[in-house]
Amino acid sequence: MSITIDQKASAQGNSAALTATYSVNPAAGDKVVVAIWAFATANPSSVKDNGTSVTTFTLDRSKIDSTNGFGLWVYYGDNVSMPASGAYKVTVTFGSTVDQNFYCAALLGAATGASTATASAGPTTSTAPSSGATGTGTGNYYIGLFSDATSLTPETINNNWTSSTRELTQTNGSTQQAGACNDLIGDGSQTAAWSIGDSVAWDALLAVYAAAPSAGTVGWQPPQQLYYRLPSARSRALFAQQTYGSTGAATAVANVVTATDSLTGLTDTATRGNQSFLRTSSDTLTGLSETVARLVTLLRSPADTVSTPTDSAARASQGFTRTATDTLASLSESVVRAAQSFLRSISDTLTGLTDSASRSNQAFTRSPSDTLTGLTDSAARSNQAFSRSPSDSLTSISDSAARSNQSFLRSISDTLTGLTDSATGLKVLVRTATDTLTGLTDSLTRAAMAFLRSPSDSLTGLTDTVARAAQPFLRTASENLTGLTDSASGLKILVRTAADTLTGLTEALGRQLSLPRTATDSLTGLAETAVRAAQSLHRSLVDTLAGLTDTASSAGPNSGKPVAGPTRLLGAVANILGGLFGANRNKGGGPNNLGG
Amino acid sequence: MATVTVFPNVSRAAGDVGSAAAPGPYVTAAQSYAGTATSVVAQIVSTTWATDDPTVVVTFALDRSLDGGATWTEVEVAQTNPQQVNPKGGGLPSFQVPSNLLGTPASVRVRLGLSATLKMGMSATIV
Repeated sequence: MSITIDQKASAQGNSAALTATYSVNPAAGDKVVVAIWAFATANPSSVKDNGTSVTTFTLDRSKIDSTNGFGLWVYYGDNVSMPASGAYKVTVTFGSTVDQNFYCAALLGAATGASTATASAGPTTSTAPSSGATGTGTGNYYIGLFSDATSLTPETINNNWTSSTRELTQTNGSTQQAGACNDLIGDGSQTAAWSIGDSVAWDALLAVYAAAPSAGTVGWQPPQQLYYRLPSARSRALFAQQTYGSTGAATAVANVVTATDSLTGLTDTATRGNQSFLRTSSDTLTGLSETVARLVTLLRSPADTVSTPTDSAARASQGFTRTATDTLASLSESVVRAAQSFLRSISDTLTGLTDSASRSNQAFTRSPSDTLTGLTDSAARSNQAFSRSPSDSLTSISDSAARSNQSFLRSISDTLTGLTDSATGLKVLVRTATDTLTGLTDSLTRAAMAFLRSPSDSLTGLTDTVARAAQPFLRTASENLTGLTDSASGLKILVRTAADTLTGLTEALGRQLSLPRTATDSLTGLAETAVRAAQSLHRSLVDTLAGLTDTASSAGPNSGKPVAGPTRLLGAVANILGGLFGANRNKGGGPNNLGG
Repeated sequence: MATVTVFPNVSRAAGDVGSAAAPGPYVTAAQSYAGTATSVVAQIVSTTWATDDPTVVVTFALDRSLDGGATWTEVEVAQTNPQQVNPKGGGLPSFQVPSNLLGTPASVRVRLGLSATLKMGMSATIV
């Protein structure tokens, strides 16, 4: 397997954090080698990329020139991942602003791990920077760099490394750190070399990276490892090498995915479908776009959403543990939803469940935000025991059957008005302060229920006789007897109040009641004879005899009535006298025995 | 050698550097350079740099266009702070188009990002 330079990028400037942006993203899984030179003697504090799984590059080799205040570094990162979107970037960070220059090459086909050989030289003062020779084998990637202590601007820098490519140059020796970086894909021993315009101190560094073994080199190589390669570059780059103790067919290799591998990078179906990858925490199901692959048992990660698997079969056959951010609404087909036991989350609404079957078969705990309104089919509603919430109104329950079968605790905002069907009215509802009897328009209901009368109730509201008669209403201070217009009611024993007047009783039968006479009653008010005769009314201060206009009352001597007057008084006196003197003893009794 | 002022030295409110596709509030006009240019350097210009708030983060992004400014591609991003100076030359920080991008005629521009208000400008030198 040979190495190729996939993509390259570089950056130059005075910066604490300098970022190189690739104009074209390299392939995920590439090896990236970063060559840095800077006017600094401390190592960079970090070299990182912006991949989905961020790669922190490993320092492979450095050359620090403390005498002249600059340094050279080579870092590498294996199996880099690409950002989910946007350009791939590599950032070199120093502790403070420094003059820095770096070049980063993304390599396809390079073996993982550190360089297989390095060479360095300096500080040496001359016009010919050179790293010294190193490297064995074929198909290697060589990267060499140097920097010098020149103050020339521009510094002249020429290549003395045959076949190499100048990747980055800094010719400003006065305000920047002059130097250059070359690379080469080649064989054997190599020496990175340049010539410069002045004889100054320089340091140089060369690192060699081997190619990854090719698939065709299967064989027993004791005690080294055998490497099997997958046929496509992308697959090959994604999977870590496996070590085997004996030969075998390349297709039988089981690749172990590493922590930095991303399933997203696997775009070829065959590869993905046949392999059992351990999923990493950064993998998303989104990356798996074909159904076959998705049927693989992937542990679901917190970032996965149930929405992602759009084919029913896959979703149904996999046991996804639901996360807090999943919504039931995402599951649009009934079969799947019915077959899966999703724990309901706070944000789910019953409204999201549009098919009745699912809803009735599942035991959803009702949440504070659920409304009964959301349940539009009666069957489901009646089968489920929903606790009534403060915001529910009985009005929402429009079908009688459901309403009558359920024991809803009445809330503050409920009105009896909402109960329009008689059957429901039979329920025992605790009356609230704002209920009015007026609201109960059906006689049967009103009669059968024991309502405590409130201060604001008026009897006027009760228009049907039966109800009024049968109920023990306590009379209130504002009521007057005038309101009782029907005779049957008049038979009731009503405690008379101070404001009642007899005048109010206009019918004879009512006046026959035993009404204690008050100080303001006048006999005059009793206009008909029969009544006056039948009642024992004590005379009051305002009574006048003149008011007694009917003769029968005053003339009858033995009427048995307590007639007061001089005639009767004289008769009584005569009887007494007759008894005393005998001559005229009254045998018959009576005043007429006295003669004239 | 041509040196032009790409950002005048004025007080600027905080603003994000943005991206090549969606620049922030401070972006220069396109500066063209021939394929024979040997150096394209952008240099901070400030008279108060030495006393400015060192906690302010100054971000520069360099974009390159190969189609006359129709589309832009980010090349590099650099960050520094007031009071930071070029360690070698002692001047104000600068950054440049990487040398390997100088062989092709292109246009460049600079996007500036400030984490807080700062008076500063920038010049560009194309050699």
